[in-house]
Amino acid sequence: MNGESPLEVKVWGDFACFTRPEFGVERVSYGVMTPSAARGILEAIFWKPEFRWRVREITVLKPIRHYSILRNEMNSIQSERSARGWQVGGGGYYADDDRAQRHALCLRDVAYIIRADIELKEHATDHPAKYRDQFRRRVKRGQCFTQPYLGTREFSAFFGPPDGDEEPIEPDEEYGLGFMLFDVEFEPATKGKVAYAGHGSGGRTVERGNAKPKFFQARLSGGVLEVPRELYEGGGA
Amino acid sequence: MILQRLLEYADSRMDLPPVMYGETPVRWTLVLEPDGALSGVISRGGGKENRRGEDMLVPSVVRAAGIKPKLLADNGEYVLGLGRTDSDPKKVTDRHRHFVDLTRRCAEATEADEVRAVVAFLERWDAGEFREEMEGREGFDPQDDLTFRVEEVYPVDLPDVRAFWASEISGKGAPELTCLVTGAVGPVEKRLPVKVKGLTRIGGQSAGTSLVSANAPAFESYGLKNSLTSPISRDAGERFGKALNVLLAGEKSRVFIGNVVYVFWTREPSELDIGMFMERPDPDRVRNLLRSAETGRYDRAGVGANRFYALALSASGGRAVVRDWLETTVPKAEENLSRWFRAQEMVGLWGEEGAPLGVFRLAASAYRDASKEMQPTVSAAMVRVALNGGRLPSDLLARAVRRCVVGTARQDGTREHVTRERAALIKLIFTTQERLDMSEMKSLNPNPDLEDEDREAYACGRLLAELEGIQRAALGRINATITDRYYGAASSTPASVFGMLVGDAQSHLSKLRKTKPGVHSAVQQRLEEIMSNLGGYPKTLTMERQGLFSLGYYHQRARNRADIKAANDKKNENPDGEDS
Repeated sequence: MNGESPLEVKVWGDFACFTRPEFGVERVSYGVMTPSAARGILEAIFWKPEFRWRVREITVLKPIRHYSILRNEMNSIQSERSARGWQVGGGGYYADDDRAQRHALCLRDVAYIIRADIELKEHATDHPAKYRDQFRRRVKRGQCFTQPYLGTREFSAFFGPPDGDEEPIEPDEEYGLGFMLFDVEFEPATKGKVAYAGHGSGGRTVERGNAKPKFFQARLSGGVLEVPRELYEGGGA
Repeated sequence: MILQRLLEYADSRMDLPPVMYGETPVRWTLVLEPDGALSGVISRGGGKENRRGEDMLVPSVVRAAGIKPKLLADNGEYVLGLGRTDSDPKKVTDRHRHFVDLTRRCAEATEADEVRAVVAFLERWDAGEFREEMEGREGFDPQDDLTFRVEEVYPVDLPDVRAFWASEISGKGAPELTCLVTGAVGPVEKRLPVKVKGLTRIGGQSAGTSLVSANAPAFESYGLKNSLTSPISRDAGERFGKALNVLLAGEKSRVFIGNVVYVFWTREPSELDIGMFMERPDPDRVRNLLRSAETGRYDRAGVGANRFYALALSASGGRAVVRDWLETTVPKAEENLSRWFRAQEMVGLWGEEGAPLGVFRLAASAYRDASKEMQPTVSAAMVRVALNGGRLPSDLLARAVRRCVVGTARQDGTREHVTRERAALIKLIFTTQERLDMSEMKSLNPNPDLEDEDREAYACGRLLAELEGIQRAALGRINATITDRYYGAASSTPASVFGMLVGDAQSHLSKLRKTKPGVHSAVQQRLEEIMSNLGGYPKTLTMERQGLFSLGYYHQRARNRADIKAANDKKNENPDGEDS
């Protein structure tokens, strides 16, 4: 909300991988948490259909360190139809044929402070302070719906309220981040490729639409990544 | 960001042809009047080397099957409708018709007079004019390409025509998304046009590898497939692909270490030859680098310094894998490099000045067979530390120490336990980890700036080398020296062997006292000096202290050999002189 102080949560973990979309297969991480990853963490801690999260700032607390791992991953995705087919007709999935070794350039030893606002949706009736208080209580207690994660689910995140004496890093003045993924925008379309849940006054509905990744020019100034407010205008997530 | 930097390189440092233009041999130029009349035909090439014509920068597109006319420059079938003897006449007319359509659309879109002239010519040609000029022409083959020139202007060179071709080629049915490299909204490609060649040496496909690809169901996301998961416009894709290919092809901009290739470039042109420093460091240039670092010649200004980029790639079948990415400034890279070379300075086996070592040689010294056993991460880590500072991993130290214990077989059948590369690597690891002061450890340091237990480990190594020297002086060359037998035990548990070894050395010493008294007194002195550093023998040595042990062993041996060599040289100079 405009004028209100944003909600804060400190997040840290041993590893993180905020995958660049262009290197989605042999993963290369962004140097800093993306706004969409921050939103994911916030939604894992607290979310209700009545509001959206608007990420304002991400403060980087630890130096950016990269780390390289090789893992065996599968090429196919799970499909309910094939599982049912096997159930009926026998057979199964053999990982041996489907395996490929993939490299990932991740981050290690990360810590961030996320500052965000809660923006109520049109059908919300309660006072926004109710949600803000709920969030603060949950952060203090360490309560969450699902364990938040840093980019990919295998890199779990720990969270808590900030101490108040954390210092942002002082990066190289010219640490440019280039274009960073802001978030994915879902455009409703009757013949769209993805089905997603819409939440409105009519409750939860399933809508079809197309997903469009949106990018913005990211700058790390004084150790803080600021997410421009204008990105949130013109259609929400 | 990697892609953006490549794109900047392409724009600023490369002379790239316009989108979807390529150097193609063109055989004939049809010279037209502004009203479309054919005023002349110019032959280009046709000789032995350029039978298909001279190269020219014209629209080009990959054509396998199907009808794809190339704008304003294509072969006889498309341009003139003249088929080869074995071509299907219906297909030929089809092709010609498509070509004429394309030219008409171009004329409408660009409204250029030259293109209109071409359209006029084509209409007149179709009506039957000018046929006799071409059909009987000597050497005319419908396979060869032709292009047009209207008075003095080549329509293919016009910027409007280029823009039209760029949009024509990419616009068909491509979704409109934000290109993540340029930030512009526009049509994006499903499959990128340019593949990265040059990775075949390290396991990539010869057809080319893709830097950005998503070719299996597991890599689709949000309903987006292939390269749409990472929207990139055709123009950007072509440019950064070409930039990467040029960098991989240039000798100075890339270096292969193991099965990883490092690509280096700078924002503005620079003299820095990183590849040489990494692969085969030239001693003179390294010396210059170290000297200028000392005198602080480099401008350490933050803003405005030339930017330096390094990208490590490996290949996994059809995909190019990004192993590491580094972005720093040229002065910082040079500073880190000079630190790197100073850290690895190590005296040679005979006490001479040692030449600087390349990354692969250093890393390979920690393995029995580096080509089979060394992980790509090791060389990536070393290059990163060389350019960006940081710590080398301790497991490399453990490996190097293990290899010191096992030793490397030499040609003459003996084993070299601590080679110069291993000693340099161990010193390098210690320096980057910053726990021990290695500034005075280039050659033998009788009084190292180390704490007690570290000092004892160093002294133990020296002791082993000295005892080996005593054995050699007493017995001459033998098949298995005490080093071969006892290095491992001496390195890990000195207390268990040194008592016995020093005791055994007494018999050698008494023999030396009788046969070579000069040698005996020198050796005795050295032994006492080393033993004065040792309170007792340590029970066990940690991995780090074993590294110091190897350094002590190497330094002492190098010093002893240097002394022997100096004595031999002196003896050879004056043959009447006594033994030293």
